[in-house]
Amino acid sequence: MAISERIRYGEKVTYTGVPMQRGIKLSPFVGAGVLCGTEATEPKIAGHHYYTKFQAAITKALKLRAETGIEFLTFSGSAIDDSLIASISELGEILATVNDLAFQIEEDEYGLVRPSYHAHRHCMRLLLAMAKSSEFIRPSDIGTDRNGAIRITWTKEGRETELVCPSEDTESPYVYYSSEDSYATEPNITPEGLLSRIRWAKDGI
Amino acid sequence: MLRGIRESDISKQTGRVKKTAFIPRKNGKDDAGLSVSQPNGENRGQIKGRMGNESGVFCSLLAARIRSIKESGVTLEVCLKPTERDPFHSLIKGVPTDRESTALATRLAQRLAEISDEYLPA
Repeated sequence: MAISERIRYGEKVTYTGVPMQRGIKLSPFVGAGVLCGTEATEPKIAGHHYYTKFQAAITKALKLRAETGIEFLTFSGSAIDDSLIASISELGEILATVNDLAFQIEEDEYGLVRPSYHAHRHCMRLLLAMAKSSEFIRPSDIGTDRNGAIRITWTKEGRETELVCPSEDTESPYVYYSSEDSYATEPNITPEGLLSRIRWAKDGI
Repeated sequence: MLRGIRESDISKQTGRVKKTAFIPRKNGKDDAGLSVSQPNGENRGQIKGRMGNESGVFCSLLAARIRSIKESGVTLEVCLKPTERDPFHSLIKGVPTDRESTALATRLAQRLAEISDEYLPA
């Protein structure tokens, strides 16, 4: 099935692939959270047209990859894996929501609104690493608080796990988790630790 | 009691008030307490002016229910603290703001959110 049959115009998606220019393969890229199909004509995996249309997005994606050091999932036009597309699409939607937080106003009468680069960097790093190592579990909510911290929440049946990425440079991401009769925070969170807490919120184990 | 909140403090999925509405601000901004105000039968415009809320989004919660919140030895209190602009301004006291008490502050914010509803003035 061609990619264009699964991704509709105007839909926010993550484009990942190996662009080609005059038959030469360029660096693999992922446009997580920065691409919107409204500018596109026919979305394609590779090709000069696609590449030039999304030059800015590709540059951003490559910059992100250089900063995080994470190798992204990639595919080529001739080897499309359905499950990979599904997970990328899901991940792209979530990363797009996180990315959109950076385009909010800086602050309002209640405090900070827009998260800092520090918060974004940590958040993206954790989410991408988690997605790479396992299946990605859709959050219940994504937003910021009055300190400009990114808060991503997974809830089910009275249990909650929340990834908090503070905006202050001196603070590291942590997880807040709670049930009806207990609560705690877990500092220095790893992708594996976060996933374990998310599974606890979703499955109770 | 009324608290001025952001539109994003209301969950799009559930319509419930999120705990982000009650997470205390850092750098001493909420050390004295979380601002609320008493309703006085005003319309949205009047409440916005009195409470300095440009977005016009509010949540309501009962003082008695705030005082019933007890967590890890902390009991929340509500005290009248009038300001020049708002004679009905009050503070929810007891939510810690130091970094070591982040878990407790988040738990209390969660409990406050649970007893809150979006308030739609006439």
